[in-house]
Amino acid sequence: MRHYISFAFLLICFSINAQNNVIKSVSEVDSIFSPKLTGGFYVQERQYQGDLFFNNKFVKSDILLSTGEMLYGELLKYNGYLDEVIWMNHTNYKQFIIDKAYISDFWTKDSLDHPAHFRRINVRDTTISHRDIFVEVVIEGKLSLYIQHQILCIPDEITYSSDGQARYIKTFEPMPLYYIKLPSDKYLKMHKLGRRSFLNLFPEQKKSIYRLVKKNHLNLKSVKGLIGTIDLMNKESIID
Amino acid sequence: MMTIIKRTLFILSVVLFCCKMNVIAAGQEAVYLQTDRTTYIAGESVFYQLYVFDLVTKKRSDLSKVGYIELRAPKSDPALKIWVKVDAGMASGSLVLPDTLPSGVYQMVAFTSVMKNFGEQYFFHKEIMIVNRFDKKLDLRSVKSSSNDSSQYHRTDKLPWIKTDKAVYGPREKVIVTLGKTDIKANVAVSVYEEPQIKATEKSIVETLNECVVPATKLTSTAYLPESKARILRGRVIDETTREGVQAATVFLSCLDSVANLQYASTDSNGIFQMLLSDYYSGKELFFTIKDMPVGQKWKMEIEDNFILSEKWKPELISYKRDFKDYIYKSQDIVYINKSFGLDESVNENPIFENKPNCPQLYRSTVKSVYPSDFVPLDSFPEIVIEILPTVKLTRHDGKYQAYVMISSQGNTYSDREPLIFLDGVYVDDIQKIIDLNSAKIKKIDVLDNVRILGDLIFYGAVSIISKSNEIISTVPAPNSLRYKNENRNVGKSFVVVNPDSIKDHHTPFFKQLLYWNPNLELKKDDNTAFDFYTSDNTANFIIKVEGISENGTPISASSVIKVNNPINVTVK
Repeated sequence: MRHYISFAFLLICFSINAQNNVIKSVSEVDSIFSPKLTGGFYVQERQYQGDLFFNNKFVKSDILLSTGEMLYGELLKYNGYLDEVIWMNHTNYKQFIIDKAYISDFWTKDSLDHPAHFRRINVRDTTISHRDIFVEVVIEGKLSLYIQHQILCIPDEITYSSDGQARYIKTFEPMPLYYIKLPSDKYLKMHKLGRRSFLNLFPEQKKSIYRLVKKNHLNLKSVKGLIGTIDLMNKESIID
Repeated sequence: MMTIIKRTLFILSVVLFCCKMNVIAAGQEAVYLQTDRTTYIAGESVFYQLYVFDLVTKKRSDLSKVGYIELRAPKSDPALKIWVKVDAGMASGSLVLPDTLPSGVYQMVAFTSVMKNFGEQYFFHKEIMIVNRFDKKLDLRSVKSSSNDSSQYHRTDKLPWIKTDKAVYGPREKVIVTLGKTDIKANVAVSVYEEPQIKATEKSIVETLNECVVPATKLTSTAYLPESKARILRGRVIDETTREGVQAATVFLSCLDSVANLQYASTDSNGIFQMLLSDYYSGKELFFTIKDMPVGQKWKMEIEDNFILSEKWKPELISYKRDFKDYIYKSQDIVYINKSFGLDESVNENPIFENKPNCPQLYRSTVKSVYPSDFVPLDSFPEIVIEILPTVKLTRHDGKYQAYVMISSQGNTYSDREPLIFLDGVYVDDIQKIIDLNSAKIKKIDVLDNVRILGDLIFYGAVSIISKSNEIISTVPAPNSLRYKNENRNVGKSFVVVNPDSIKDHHTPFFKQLLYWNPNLELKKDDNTAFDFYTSDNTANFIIKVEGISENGTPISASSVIKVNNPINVTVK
């Protein structure tokens, strides 16, 4: 019995050791040559009220770079005010803004630990120029729904300290924007959720969408209702 | 109960052992190099198809994306060295044999990076005969070998069977060849070439794969990594005094470009650093620098030659018994005629890059650009800094300059750390190299006034100078720097079948020894595959040779012969 066990043990040890050799060399390629992130120093806001980030904590996230390469497990958080991705470098614990053009997509988590997929898209601004923004990918299909988790700074609020000195404190508030991508690759933008504003985006299909919303008791004043409506529009091919 | 446990344990361990043996071999490769012919005249092109196999599955390997091919004469350094991009275990192209190659037998060696871990005996070797166009003495010798004489066997018994519409053809006649269907989809290289009267030893893909053994060598920490993404450049930083590797040294790599570009790697415990060379670096001169070498230290950088073979080829050569001179004279004449008439149009240039390679740009953010030509001429860089670069400061201690950049994110104060300096896109190892540059030499200066990060490296601003006439080339590398020419990947040319009817002038000669070459012909599973080509005025026997592999790893090897006769000669007889 003792000999059997010793022999078996030897074989197992040998095989595990041998396996390590090869697997190490193959996986090493990915770890040694993983792409290096580039970015600028992030100067943190001080003295403000509200939240600047999609999730205030740094979360282990995956990044798809514009070069097509993937990076896994980087500590990220999305700053909705700057519309930039903040990266915590794990060797020096400093925070950097990753070059926007370098990121194609990233997968992170919200404050409730729900997964969220963000993508850099190019949309037409009110200033007529195109600009790159990060949006959360909610639905992808014939009609796609993206949410820009925009944070706006409202005018400074003056507070007075105990010694009577005036202090200007910035307040940040979430102001999400909703982008609906048409099959023609055009984007429709919604500032506020609501049935009327949504139906106005599709003047030709207004009636059919109205019937669909009514029939399925969808509340277009909520994100859930918006998602349900677009899902159904995709299923019933309301937009060609 | 104990017996059951005993037996189960034993069986489990044996099964596990067997499974692991397979895993050991996973990532181990073999290659096979198929060429259009085995005898060439110097100046001709060698068309090749490289197959890379997984030694366990015997299927085409998906691991290595780079293959290496060398051509060498006995007891000589390699005459040609090329690297090719391997896609799904295959790579094809051509290499032009220099006109000046002396006559003799040459060896083609093919391998991948991971194969270097197990020794050169596992590389693929193949002999070809090259004859100089002006050699009339023809004192040729072949390698004494037990391998098959390729000119002696024309097998048609193995799949795929080769069928031609006729057995004998006249000059300038269309030949239709049909290859039988295979059990599963397969890719083969097909060549139709004049049967050489000179002995050539070569192994078929079937023989090569059957003889392949899984090397048992154990990998060490310095093992070569599979080039699964791109070519890997390996180098070593050593202490010149102790000759030992320097651990944790940072090596910068950049190359000549209109934008500052940078890649870095750190050395391991053996002083080895490795860098992934994307297509961006292909054919460029690479500038390496050891960053922040401590004062008083003598560190040196060495770049490993990916092609290096430890020993020269020393074959035992024997004289030919058969008379081959007429065949060689004819080959020389055909090459001479085709060169004289400029009839080398049967080859097409392939595109060099499918996609524009990504430049490892140091910064993508906005920088302040200054064009010295917009200002009055200034005699030196320190003068330029004082007059037109307000965010840069130069100080001088003991005759040495130091630069500092005003960092906007740090309240517009000068950083106490030196910025990175670039000249023509290349990281400059010594600021003294730019001090003498004046307005007449500088085209543009970019100043990056921000703290930046690249991987784990933080730097405090950057100054990038683009000169009018690539001044970086004329600078002398510092002791901690090195320049290295990165060879372009071989793409070569592709073969084009010429229809003799398309030749307008009927007095133009049309002699060919290679009638057809297709490195990647796909054989169908449920139908025969046909291809066609034309015979030339060269009357001889031609070999149709098919070598390849199916999707399930079955090697395919077959050959057949067709005859090209001159009907006028036949009538006279």
